[in-house]
Amino acid sequence: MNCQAVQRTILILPDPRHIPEMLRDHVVGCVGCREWAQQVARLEGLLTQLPVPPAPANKKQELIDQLAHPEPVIIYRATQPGGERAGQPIRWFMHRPAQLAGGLAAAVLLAVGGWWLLTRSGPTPETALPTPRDPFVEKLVRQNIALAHASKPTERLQLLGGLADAISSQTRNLARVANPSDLNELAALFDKVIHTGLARQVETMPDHALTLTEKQELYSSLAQKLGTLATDAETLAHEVPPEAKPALQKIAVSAREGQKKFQP
Amino acid sequence: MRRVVFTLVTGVVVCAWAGAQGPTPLSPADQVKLLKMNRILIGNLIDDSLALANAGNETERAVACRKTARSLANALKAAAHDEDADRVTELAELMARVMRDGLMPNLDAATRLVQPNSPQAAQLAEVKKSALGDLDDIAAAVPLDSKLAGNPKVQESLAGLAQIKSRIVP
Repeated sequence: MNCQAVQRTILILPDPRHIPEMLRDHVVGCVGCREWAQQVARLEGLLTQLPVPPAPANKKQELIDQLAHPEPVIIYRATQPGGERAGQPIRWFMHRPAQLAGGLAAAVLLAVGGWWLLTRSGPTPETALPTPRDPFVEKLVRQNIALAHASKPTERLQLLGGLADAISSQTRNLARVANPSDLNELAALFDKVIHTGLARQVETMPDHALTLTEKQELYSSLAQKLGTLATDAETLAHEVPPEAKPALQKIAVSAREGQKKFQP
Repeated sequence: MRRVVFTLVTGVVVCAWAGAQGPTPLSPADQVKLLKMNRILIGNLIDDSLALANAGNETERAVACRKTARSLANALKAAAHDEDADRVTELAELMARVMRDGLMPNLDAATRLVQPNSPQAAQLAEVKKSALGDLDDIAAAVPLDSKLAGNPKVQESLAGLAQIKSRIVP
């Protein structure tokens, strides 16, 4: 044992004035450690001589009262004979066995659930989710019924313009999520409405069906509408996934072609 | 007392607000699913609408309306085969609307206008016969002893179609 270890051991002795046998040989033979032991022993002697003031008799109770009142952050409860012991079974039940019971209940549930899943026979009962109504189909049916009553070319042109708008809107709404083939089909339907519907109405319209002013107003309105549809599709084509672009571009091209038909 | 009145008034206001919200918008997944499911029907409805736009008179419009009804009837039969009560109800209601608000007025107008024994009269008779055939097809697609026929919504929508059938005079 070196001098440093001996001196540390002396410091932690309960009473350094009494050097144990195992250190004594070293301390006797080593001047530095002997002087260290003497100083520590002297210090210990001085400490025992320090006067200690007597504690006030009621200080402890005053401190407890101060903590308990008036802000009962720590509430002091007077112990009642048998009270603590009386609360023990409840605490015991509320903590340890409750955890145990909860664990057991969970284990039983898992076992029963597993057994039910593994042993049940027959086909799995299907949970029939309600099929939502399709607002797009409903809109198409409304347009269809309106066309069934449209005897004037102006009405038919406006309704066909609405039909083109509905298809374009549906394509734009689904451009980010729908299958490209479904989108292309919608774009093909839009093109059909423009060329087989609107354009044909213009070509077959009798000269006397509209006055010049009526014709100008109607055509200008349709050209504007188709121009807006083209712009909307072109704008969205820059924001959607690449596979959705062709459908929107096709709608934009068809709309521009239709727009030309109605421009003066 | 004031608290009760306040609670009732608040409840009424909340109910009125909730009622004014309209149907919940479809999720993108539902919209995609419906687009796939109704792909053929959508194409047919647009073709039928174009036929209506290009129809020159009431008889031709009646022919086009009957075609729309047929498109819906085909989709309805497929839904009945799948035992999809919601879809059967939806399509039966749409078909009833087309027949009641589109086909019937044009049939009535054409019947008044066409000369008996004319080619148009024969065409009209054919339209009526086909429309009655469509309704019979629907009845056959939902047999009375089927689970589908026991659904109250389906029953109600099919009753609407049966009522229209009684108004079509061959």
